[in-house]
Amino acid sequence: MTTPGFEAFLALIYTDREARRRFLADPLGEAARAGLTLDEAHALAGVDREGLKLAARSFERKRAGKHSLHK
Amino acid sequence: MNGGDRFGIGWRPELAAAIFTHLDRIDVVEVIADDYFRAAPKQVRAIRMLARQLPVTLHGVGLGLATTCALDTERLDSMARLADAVCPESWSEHLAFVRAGGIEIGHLAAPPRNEATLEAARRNASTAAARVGLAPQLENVATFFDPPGSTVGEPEWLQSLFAGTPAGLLLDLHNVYTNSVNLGYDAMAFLRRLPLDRVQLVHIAGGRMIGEKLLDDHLHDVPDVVYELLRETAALTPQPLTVILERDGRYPQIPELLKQLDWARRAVEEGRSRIAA
Repeated sequence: MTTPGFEAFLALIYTDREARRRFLADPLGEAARAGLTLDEAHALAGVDREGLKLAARSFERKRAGKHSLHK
Repeated sequence: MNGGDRFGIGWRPELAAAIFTHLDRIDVVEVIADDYFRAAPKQVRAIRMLARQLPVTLHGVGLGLATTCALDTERLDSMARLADAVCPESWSEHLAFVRAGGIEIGHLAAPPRNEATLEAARRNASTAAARVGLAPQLENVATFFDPPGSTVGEPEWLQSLFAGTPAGLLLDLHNVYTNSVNLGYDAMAFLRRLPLDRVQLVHIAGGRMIGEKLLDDHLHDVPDVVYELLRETAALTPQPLTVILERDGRYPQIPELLKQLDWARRAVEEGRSRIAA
């Protein structure tokens, strides 16, 4: 299932607040507009929303931090 | 204890002086490779000198080898040059993706676990081994949620991956614990399903709860459950283990970190005694 396009869509909703807001409001629609397959769209629609938001905040802090990629 | 078991700590500028003062209790250090990709030659020489005094392993944090996207070859070449300059005994990277579609995520995102990422991770590990001249140790990563697009569980994905690559598994036990909390499964049962025969390096660390989720932030002490996982790992793996304590901030005094290393030694010793029994 996973393609570079699918990963790119994940990267987008992990890093872009507005894209994430649109996705959470209409997951299947946003996935379709990004050119993803129906299987990929359904996989995305089932995402743990709270987990996604927490991850996005964590990624944002890491990008802002001095040692941005230390884990 | 297996005579080859070793215990070390992540090399950080804030800890450097203390590490040098306590080399009698630190067997190995892990250096964040990416910090030296654009470093001045004298800084790289300093790490090379360090590697002549005690074993050094280089830890990459920016490649992300579990991706179907093209690898960042510039970064990979930087790792190869650094490895050539430092002569580490090993190097490692994460089973994550960190960029896609021109977007830098800025950290380690857990990959969708499916055939496509499995094949890509194998291919990327092979490419990385060829460029660096040494097969990488591949680390399992932490996540707040099950990556969308996953069709198999993490143990199955890791089993399949390591069946098709000569790379070793860098087993991060706090990541195992973190995922068990965030995804709701039993960490010990999960551990027993991993390809433990491929483990040479082990990470231990601490984190903190955010609501019902656990954040793997490396800013806190190693929790007891991670020592329990380490004990079990030692009981299940006859090969020598190198255990690295990761700490990325809120540094306690060095005696506290050394105490955590001692607890790790004890956990491994207790696990080894179960093999002997």
